[in-house]
Amino acid sequence: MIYFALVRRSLLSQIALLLLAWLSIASMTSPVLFAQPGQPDIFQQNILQQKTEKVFREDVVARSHDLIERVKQSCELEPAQLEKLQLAAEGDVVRFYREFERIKSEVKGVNQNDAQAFQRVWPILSPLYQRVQQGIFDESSLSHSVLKTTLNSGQLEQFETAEAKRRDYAFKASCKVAIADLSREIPLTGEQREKLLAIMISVARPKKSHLQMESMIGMVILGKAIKRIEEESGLDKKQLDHLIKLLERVRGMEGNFQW
Amino acid sequence: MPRFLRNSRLLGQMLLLSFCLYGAVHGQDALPVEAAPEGVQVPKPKDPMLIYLKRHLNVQRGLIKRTCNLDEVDINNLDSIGEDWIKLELVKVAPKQDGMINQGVALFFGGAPRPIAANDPSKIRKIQSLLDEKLTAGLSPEQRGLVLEAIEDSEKFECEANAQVLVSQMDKMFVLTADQRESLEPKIASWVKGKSLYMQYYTQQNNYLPDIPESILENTLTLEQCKRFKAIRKIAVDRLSIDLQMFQHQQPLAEQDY
Repeated sequence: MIYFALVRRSLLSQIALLLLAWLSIASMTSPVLFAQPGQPDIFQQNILQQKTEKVFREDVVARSHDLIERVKQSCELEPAQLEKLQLAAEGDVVRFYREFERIKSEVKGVNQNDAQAFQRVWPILSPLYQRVQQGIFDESSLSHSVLKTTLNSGQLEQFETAEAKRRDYAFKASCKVAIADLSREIPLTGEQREKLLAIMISVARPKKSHLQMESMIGMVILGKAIKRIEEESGLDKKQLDHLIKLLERVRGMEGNFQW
Repeated sequence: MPRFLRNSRLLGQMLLLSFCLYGAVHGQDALPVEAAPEGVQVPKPKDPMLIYLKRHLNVQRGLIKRTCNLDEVDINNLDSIGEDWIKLELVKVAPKQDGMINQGVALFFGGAPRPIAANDPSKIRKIQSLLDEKLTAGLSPEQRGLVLEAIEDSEKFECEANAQVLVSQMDKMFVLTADQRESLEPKIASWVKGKSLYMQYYTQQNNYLPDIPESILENTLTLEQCKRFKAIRKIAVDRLSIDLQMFQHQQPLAEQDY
């Protein structure tokens, strides 16, 4: 009886050992294509950004209504206009999810840390990633096209004015933060900061930029305005020399913006 | 030998083999230390804390010179404070001995022990304030007042700039009205005061915000906006730590003595 128990146990343990050996060797030597539990999934990490699909969808739906919210803040909408814009927003969500599901089916489960698999699927994932990063419903969206045909000229003007104020606010913030960053390298007086800000705000600003380049706008504007800065900012030679050296890091970056 | 004992020995061998293979595949390889050719002196990389503090010294000294009317003696006094003084202060705050972090089971899997990080932001801040005191110590009360005012102005400007950027990011994330932008700006400006946030992190993506307390926002935002703010991932990216990491890998692009 004892012998039988030992034989059975040894058989079981031999199977278990073989399985353990196979698992450990297989997991170490072959490239892990699919994410194992606990390993980062490329779709989860880059598109859902560690949210659940339910939370992500709620976010997408909320974002699809942002344009309507911006319009409502700037002018009064007729119920029929609102309905049309809401339908367009729903259409945008449907269009987005068509792309989302297609890409998800192709890349879901790929292990983010597997360099080979990452390289293979990144071209498929990248457009959706850019879209999620940049803003899902941009000017090419259905909502934007419908907006232009739905609002009357007065409403459109009010909307454009409000949007211009919004852009001005963001641009001024970028310029101010660039000057604040500069103050960590160059000793600037309050007067010099204000003059720099006034010059930067009066320079032609980019119409469009890539999200990753947003933080460089201020420095690029400083580079564009360098002649005026030399003449009007009150910066002395040492400060100007230093600024010109610092602006080397954004040389050639103008091309990344739409002017 | 009884079979079950043979099996336990086999199990032990298998486990050992697994750990060795795991260590070989996942373990951090030791970096080969290349010896410099004979006669060639390898420049020692500068301490990032030293670079950071030297930059702070230059800016503060430059600000004092541009804010006050100083005589030659005052200027010489200011110029006498340099890298040596900072090095001395860095030695004072340096850890007694460079210990190693024991990574526990990670060491068993082939991980290498890491030295304790020497770039401690709290030490930097301490030396920064000592430096500010030393730079203004020789000034008259009136001059000292002017300098402190200039420093305060500069900090206020930075807080306002950071607040505007954060408000602008919130606007992109959950659409604020002009009134909400105006109302939030001073509240966030007073919250960011004393924090060294790395703003580039927040402007380069529309998915993260620093951990602004909800109590600051709830009177200004609507319930829907509050809900969306809560859903956004919060992360505090410390600028000082980022700067130190950057200086660890590359020297500053441009240095200027003021």
